Amino acid sequence: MPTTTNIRPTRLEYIRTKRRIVIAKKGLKLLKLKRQALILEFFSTSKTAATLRSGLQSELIKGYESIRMAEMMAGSIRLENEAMKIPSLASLQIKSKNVMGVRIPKLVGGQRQEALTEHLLELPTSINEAIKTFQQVHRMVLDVAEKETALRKLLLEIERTKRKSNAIENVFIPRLASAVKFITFRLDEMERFIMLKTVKRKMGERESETMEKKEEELLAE
Amino acid sequence: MPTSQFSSSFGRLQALSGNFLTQSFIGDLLKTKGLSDMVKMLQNTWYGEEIEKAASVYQPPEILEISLNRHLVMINKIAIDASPFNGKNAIKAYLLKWDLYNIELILSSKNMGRAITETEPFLVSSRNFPAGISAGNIPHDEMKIILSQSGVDAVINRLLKYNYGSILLQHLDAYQKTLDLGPMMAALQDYYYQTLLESLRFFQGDEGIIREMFRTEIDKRNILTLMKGKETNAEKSVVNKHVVNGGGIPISELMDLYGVNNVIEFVGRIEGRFPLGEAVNSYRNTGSLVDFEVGLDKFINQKYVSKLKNIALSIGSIFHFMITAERERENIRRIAYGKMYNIPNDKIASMIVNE
Repeated sequence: MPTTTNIRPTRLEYIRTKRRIVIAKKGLKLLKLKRQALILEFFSTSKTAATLRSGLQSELIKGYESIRMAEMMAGSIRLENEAMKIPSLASLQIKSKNVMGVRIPKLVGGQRQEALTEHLLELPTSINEAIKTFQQVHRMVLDVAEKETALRKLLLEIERTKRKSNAIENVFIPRLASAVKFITFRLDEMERFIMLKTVKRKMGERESETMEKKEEELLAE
Repeated sequence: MPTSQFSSSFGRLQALSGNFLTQSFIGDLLKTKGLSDMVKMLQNTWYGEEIEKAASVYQPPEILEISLNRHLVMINKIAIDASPFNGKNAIKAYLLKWDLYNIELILSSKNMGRAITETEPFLVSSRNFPAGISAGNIPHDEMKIILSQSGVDAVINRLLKYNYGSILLQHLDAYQKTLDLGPMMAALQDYYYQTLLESLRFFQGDEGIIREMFRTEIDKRNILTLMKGKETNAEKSVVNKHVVNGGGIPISELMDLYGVNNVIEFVGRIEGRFPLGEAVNSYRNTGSLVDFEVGLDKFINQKYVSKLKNIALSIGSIFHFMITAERERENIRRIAYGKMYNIPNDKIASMIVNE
């Protein structure tokens, strides 16, 4: 950022600085638009996250109740035994999607490769229900994790965008404006100085012309 | 008058039947404040010996579950010992279900490549103390050898000498293509019920009610399978693979019933055969199928099990003894976990299946 001491008060610099102000104002406008869009995205994501979170809460309560019921009906040993028969989950992949320049994580996979439908049909009702509920809980946990990470990233980006637009609006543009003011002032000063010099020169010339005329008149007499 | 071959077994089991917990004792168990009180009360019953043995290794609630399992193993042994020579087949056929329980576990662990050490505790503990039920026809040591096999194919080969192998072998190709154990499990269950019904055919002439009971058990299993399928929107063809033949309701009729829109409509269609009105009300509130299972158990218990007791000099009395022991085990377990999780007494009581 140039300070007044190292600004070259030239017309070229004046034009450049003026152009930079126009670009900065355009950038500021864009940043404000981005911030608005991010805020909108943030609110819509937070609404979804809140719904998911409350849903997760109730689903977890339901899940633990179903586990208790399974223990009552089939016993903990049978429950552990059946849990051992469930194939392990596929590995979770984290991909990303771009929302207004923010890379939001997208969780892919984490489910079982093969459907459990056939396996579930062979299980006691209570264990079947416990597995189904916790499958739902697992899906919801992944969704909540995805949304909450997106929220954190969006919030960070909103803050960063706000700081950037504030810096442009309150620091960068005023500095450029003062630079323009400084250049205009210096250019005006230089113009005035040159004008004075020209007037002085012209006055000097006139004086010398008058003097020459007077000398010629005296010589003629 | 010739003496019945069942008179000795009837006498022996009748003498032991006095040890079954009375309804008032079950009521007292319900009134206890916690698990420790329950364990103390049960120490004075025929579970006392097993509780004492397990006390050095386990704490409540495991101590109760292990003791109940061990006790059931003992009951099954007594039942086999007490049954006359020509009744042993039917009793052994009934006990096959515990083999299936272990075989399914071993096959699943091999399918997922789990280590032996991970699976073994569910069959037998490090101190040779069975944690799970092992009261079937395959001895513990043999189960451990089966478990040590390298994969599903090897396990099936090892099981060839127990009939299960030939059943499983028919589905090995399909398994190798899809890695899905579902068809094998369904085939084992089908084999179990068919063997059981077969073993009770033309036996002595008075086992009609036992056959009826097991046919209703098959119906119960099929109804619950259909309900589970309906809840998960499973394809008709998928559900069809898991329906067992031999029940009172033919498979074709069951598959027609599967066309209904929801579980409530389904129950409405079988209401004439199985009174599940109470369970429907509960299902409407909780959305849980467990009440249907309890409702069907109560129905079977009231309609068949209590009648078995009255067929004194028949294999029915042996089945009555074993089934009552199983019900007692389930009731105690339900009370124990209900107490542990502070479930209201009314709710626990509604899940108890009494004669």
